[in-house]
Amino acid sequence: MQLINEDDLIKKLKSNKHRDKAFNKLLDLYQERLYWHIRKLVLTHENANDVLQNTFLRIHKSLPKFKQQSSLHTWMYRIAYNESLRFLEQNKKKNHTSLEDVNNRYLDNLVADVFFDGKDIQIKLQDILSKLPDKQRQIFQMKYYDNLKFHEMAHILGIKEGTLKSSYYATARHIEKNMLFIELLTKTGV
Amino acid sequence: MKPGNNHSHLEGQVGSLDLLDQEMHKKHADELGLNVPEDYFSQSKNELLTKITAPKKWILVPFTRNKVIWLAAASLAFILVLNLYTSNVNSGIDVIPAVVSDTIEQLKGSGLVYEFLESEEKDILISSLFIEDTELDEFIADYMIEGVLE
Repeated sequence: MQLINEDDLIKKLKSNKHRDKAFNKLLDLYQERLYWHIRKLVLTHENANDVLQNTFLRIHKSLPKFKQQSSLHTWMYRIAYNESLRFLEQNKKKNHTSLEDVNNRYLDNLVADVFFDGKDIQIKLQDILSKLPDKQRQIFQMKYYDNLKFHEMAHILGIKEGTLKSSYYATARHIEKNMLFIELLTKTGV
Repeated sequence: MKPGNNHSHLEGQVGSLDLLDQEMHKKHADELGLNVPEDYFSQSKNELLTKITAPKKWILVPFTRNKVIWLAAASLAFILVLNLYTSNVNSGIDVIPAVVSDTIEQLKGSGLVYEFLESEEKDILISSLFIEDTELDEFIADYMIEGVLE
């Protein structure tokens, strides 16, 4: 078992001698977590793979400029988040689609992905999520699925912690209520 | 947050981070129905490491080639400027268009041009005949002294 100290890792990432080895370690630590963060934003595996590659290339390029004003963890999530938004924006322009179209196609795009194998209940949850405003959905997913802390989310999204908390708890209640309702409908066969 | 206080996330064991990744994967698959191809993360890692460690392609532009390009550009610019300058000078007031010179000739014939175009020049020439040699010598001496003092 190996202890990892962030300061040591950053020093190694910034030194020419240890950089490649340290970057290898960084990928071991964060690749999977950043992938899931990106995947929920861009939905399909293919798109998530492209954005993940771009994210790590940007991280590698920007490491010498990293001033440690936030933790490495938060800084990387922020890059991943921005890369995902940039990708979505480019896609929107390329396909000449409006934000409304993108939201309407959320579920269609998701279900069409080869690497989505959701059953009824997962499709229903995704349907509820798709109907939420973008920011509200992102806040919920970052807290519930990415296990990020509110202060980290505040840094990534540029939203006050208090606002994030109230949005998260309201969304969680909304989802719970809807899922219970769906469960009830399923049981009663309506 | 100040530099040097950022250990919180990584101070732990790699094993526990692997566990966290496994939990995260399970949660995304079970609740959201999201999956990834088999062995995806190791393949993606290798792909990234290849991209990052690939030698950069430098484009070498020889200095001599650059020098020649700059010299050629400077010469062209010089020729252009010179050409523009000379064409402007030629089209200036020194060159009298044919129409104007014809008109002057006609005016000369009618005796009207004398006052406007030739009176001043003739005045100077005629008055110079009446200047004494002593006055001329004085003028030249003053002119030379002024030149020396300056």
